[in-house]
Amino acid sequence: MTSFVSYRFLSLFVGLAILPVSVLESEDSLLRKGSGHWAFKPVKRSAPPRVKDTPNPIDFFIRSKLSQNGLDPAPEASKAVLFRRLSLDLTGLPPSFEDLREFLKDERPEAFERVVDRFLASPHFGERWGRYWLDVARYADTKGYLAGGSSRLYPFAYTYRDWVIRAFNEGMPYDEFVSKQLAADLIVDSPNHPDLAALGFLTVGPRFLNRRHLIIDDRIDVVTRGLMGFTVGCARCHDHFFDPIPQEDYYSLYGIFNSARQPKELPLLGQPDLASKNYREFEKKRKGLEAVVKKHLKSNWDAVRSVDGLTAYLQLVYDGRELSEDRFEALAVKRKLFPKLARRWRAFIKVKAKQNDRVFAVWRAFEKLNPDKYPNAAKSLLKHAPPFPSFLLRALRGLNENDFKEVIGWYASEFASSLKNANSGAQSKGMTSFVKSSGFPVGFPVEGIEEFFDTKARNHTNSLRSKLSKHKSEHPGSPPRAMALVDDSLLRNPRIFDRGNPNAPGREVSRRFLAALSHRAERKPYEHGSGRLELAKSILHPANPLTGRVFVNRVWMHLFGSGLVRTPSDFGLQGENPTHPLLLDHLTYRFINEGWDVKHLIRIITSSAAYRQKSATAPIQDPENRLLSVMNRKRLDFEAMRDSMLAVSGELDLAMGGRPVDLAKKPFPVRRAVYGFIERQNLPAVFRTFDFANPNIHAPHRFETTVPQQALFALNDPFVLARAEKLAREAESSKGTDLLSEKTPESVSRLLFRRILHRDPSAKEFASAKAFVGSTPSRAKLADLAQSLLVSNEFFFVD
Amino acid sequence: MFSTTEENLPFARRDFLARCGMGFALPALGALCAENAVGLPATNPMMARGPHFAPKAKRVIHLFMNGGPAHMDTFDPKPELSRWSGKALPEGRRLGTERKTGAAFGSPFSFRRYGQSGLPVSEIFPHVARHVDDLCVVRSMHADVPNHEPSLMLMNCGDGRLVRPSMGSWVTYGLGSENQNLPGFVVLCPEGYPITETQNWRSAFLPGIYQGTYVNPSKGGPSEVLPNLKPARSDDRQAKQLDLLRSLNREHFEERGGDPRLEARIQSFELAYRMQIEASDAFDVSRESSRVRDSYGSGVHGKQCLIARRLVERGVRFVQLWHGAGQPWDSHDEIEKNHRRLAKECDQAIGALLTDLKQSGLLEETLVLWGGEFGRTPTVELPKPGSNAGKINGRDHNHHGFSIWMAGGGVKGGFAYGATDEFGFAAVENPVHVHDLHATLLHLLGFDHERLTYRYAGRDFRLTDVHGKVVTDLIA
Repeated sequence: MTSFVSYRFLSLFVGLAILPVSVLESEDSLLRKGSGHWAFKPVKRSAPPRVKDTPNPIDFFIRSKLSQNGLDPAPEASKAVLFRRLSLDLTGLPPSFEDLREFLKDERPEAFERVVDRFLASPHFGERWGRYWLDVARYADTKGYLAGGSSRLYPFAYTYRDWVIRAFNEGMPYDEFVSKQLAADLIVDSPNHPDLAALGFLTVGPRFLNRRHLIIDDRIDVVTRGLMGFTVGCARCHDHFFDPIPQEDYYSLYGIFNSARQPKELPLLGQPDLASKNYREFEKKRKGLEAVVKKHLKSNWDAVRSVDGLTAYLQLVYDGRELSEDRFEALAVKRKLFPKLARRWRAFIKVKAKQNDRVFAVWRAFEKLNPDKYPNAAKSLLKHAPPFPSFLLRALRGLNENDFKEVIGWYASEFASSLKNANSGAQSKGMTSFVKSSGFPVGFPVEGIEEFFDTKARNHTNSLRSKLSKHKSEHPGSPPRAMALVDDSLLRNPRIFDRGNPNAPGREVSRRFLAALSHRAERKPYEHGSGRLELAKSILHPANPLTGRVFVNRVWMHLFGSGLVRTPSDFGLQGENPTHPLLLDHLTYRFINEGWDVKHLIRIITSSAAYRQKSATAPIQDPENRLLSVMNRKRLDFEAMRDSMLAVSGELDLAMGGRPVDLAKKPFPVRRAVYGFIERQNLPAVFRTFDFANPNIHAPHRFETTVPQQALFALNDPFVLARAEKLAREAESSKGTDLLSEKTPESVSRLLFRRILHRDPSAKEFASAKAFVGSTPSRAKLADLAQSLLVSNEFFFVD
Repeated sequence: MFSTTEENLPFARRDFLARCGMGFALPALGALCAENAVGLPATNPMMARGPHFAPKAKRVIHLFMNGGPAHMDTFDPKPELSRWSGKALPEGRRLGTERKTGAAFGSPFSFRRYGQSGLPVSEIFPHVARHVDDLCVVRSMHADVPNHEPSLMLMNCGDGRLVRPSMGSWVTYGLGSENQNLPGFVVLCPEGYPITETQNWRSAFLPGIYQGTYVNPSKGGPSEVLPNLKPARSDDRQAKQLDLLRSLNREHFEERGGDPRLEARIQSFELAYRMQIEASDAFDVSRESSRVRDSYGSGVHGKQCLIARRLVERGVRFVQLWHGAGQPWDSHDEIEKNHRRLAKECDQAIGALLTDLKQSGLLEETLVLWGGEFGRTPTVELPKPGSNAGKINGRDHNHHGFSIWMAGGGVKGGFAYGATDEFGFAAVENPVHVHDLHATLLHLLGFDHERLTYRYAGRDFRLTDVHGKVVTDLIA
């Protein structure tokens, strides 16, 4: 709820508590804050209140509240309405006219239950409910904004999406579903296990220009709000103002996610078919593109280690010896050298000189001399004969040109040949070991050169990698990989960042679960790796009453249009109270004790009279229909709208899974919308117009706005026009319906009504449709009629 | 033929309450009912509504000079800097910015005093200078960091890093829009997106409808500026089709004993029908006389400023104009050549816009805001490949101090507020943080910035987060 309306006004409806804010509370008093709050109390096995004639426990709860408020439940909806409601609620697809007719003929008492089971068993169930979960998981196929030619794609996000769909279809228990999304890598026993894809829950979030503390913040948010309706993100900068979440709890979780990383090479999911033509083509090109990246790195690496390259950097250090940092760097730029590497050389020589290093003794001695003094200096150096490396002894003896260039030449050629020796695996001694030491400015392996690149070289690397990543994501032969995480070998205990500022680390805390949701005695630091598996166990622990309630409420919300708790991702003190707390607990208790079975939960809820009642506008006594005296009328969301249009025009491609398709690009793909490409950064207008979940942040629920842009889509969008056109063509080429052998205005109108609204037109509709298409219906007229039906309220709303 | 009458609008107060339950509440219930009586469906989140108190400004035009114009070359003359030109600034006076900078770099441009107020303006903005008595120049702006991305986010969304709604989204969320046939928040940027792209006008956790609607003013006919605006059918054919649709929806509606949500969707088709005509019309600058068009100049800036005027005339709440795709004002090299060219591109158009708004009286209730995400250094930028062309005649980003100006909408005219140090490096007198600018802007629009909030993820969020002070000295 927003609050720029007066609180008094609001609180009439939601009972909002405005709490005084005191930042200076002790932790104990902070934790006590939540002690009386309903959501932190254990889930109770509540006995349903007794109401006569109600066999279903859900209806006991609903009806007792209704009767307390002097309201009656609505009668059961018609079979036709129920069939469409179930079909769209459970699979996101409309029924066909024929299916509906079958159902209407089925007079067995268990006909309804059979249909529920059929829809739950359909693979399209997972596509519908999986997509709901993807809102929770702020799913997208891209990383969000990134500059400098870097690829924004998540080439393998789709493997997470497909895993979610499969999990719903296979009836994976919710506790397993949660555990695997947090810690599949710590659960499965093979490095290519399909369940590794589950970790996408953590990893498909926005990348915030690769700022790690923000990436972790996003993961904390999706885990705590998404799974527990607990707004831990509020405690990043200070103790939570309203809920019992001290700042240190935020950092306990921070430490868990900061102790795990995405592996550089994402694990393959299963074994690719090595013999397939697609795969071989993919591999060939991949190797080619990888070689280009390697070549680019190698040539730059070689250059800075060659005699010429070494000479250039050493000459720069010499020429710029009197310059300030800035001017030195500017000189490096002018000479087209990497400034960062130049600084490294300068610092290295400075340190070596200070340490009286024997290798740089000669450099040091000559650097400040006038060239005419070189011969004498050489003699004196040789006389005292410190243990110089042999190349310097040789050089000093053979000194001929009185110029520092010569000195630079000695070093450059010695370094170059020693680097070559080091590279060829020669024994590490003398100068070879000197250039292999970690401090040596160019002693790093090939990949190390990247760190020293200037912007130009870096942008070039990025664009080469982009090509590779595009290839990996788009080539049909690219084998699927998991967006996995692995624990670091080095585990870190987090420090509290003062006011959330990562540059102001403070006190260390341990990696462990939230205080408010743990038994004080049992709350111990996590011991195994990052602690993600232990975190999953804590989230699912019986002592934590939030996890089950939050999920049950989400399921209820999708079936009824709004949750029993209307702030589905905030069960804290700022959230709303449940309309039916006992019912929520009853369902949660059963859900957990009957094995976290999602399909079973849906079966229980849909079997209630409350779900099966007629939809209508809420009564005046209960304007928001909190008491559920009627079913809420639901509007199709973006995906159900698009899928339904394709389904009734007979064009929907029911293929499952795989790489995403660009829904906004012509020719419009005819796959289900759940397989659409989600561009996090610049989501196409059509998604936004139809209230699609914002993929940048966890979305508790979808908004439902009604704006003219939606109607403009209905009237003018080529996607809608194409569906109408397809239906018109079919109507035109039809040989009449089964009732009439000749094509007539009646027959084509009836056909379109059946196809689109799966029913026959009423007498009045028949008349208007006939009048509209005329006695010899043209293709254009038929298309206009089909379009009117496709965009009608009847099509867009579910009774 | 698609008139909206009271009889087909069964507005129910309870429906409004139902909306409230869905996550957004609208202010001033009384005003809402009154608005509704003139024909707006209750479920329309863009319905015009009143703020907390009587506003000075009712709409905003934000002229975004993306990339960051140099304040010492535009509205904040620094004679002392010119005297130091070529020399290193005194110890401790050169502040850190994104890149290395060197010696003091006096402005290559001359300044003149204009108008009765005698405020100085750089030679590169002669047209804007003529309006100086209407300008309220803030010379002591400061932001948080010297980088484009976070500074764009801070200026537009009030936070450099996190996913927060843009200022235009907050304003349309708070006020709705006065014209339902046009989007309430329109963003114009020639030839593509600025840096950080659509994040600059995102709605974040607010409903998607409050996000800015992007329009590329440099291409496409007026009917192509918004998706699906161009009717797919001839007018006559579409009218007949809509008649049929209306009769189908009406029967469906009656069978169900009415429902405000069904009604709202029925009405949205009437709105859409009118939008096809009115929105194309609003974007069609060819409807202006050639005298008017000439006064704005021939380039895309003339076109987009003229579109902006046509949009605010029609009641659009928030119009944001960007100088161009990417970050055109980011003159790391050749400040003289580049700033002169950039100013020339937009000066005449902005001048004409101010003239028009003033003549029609719209300026009184329209707040015009001009500025970038930060300013530039008074010191010259040192060469760095990939960052500049190494010409040593440009300026780096500068968040320590910069200028913006406002006009109309209740601000003092011919007024300069605050100051940077004598070189123009940092705001030293009456500093105004970007949060303070936001607080002031919301105040001018009639909002207490601490009470324009949205409950999300357990917190009441606002544009100014936990910051922001209204700068009352700017208000007339």
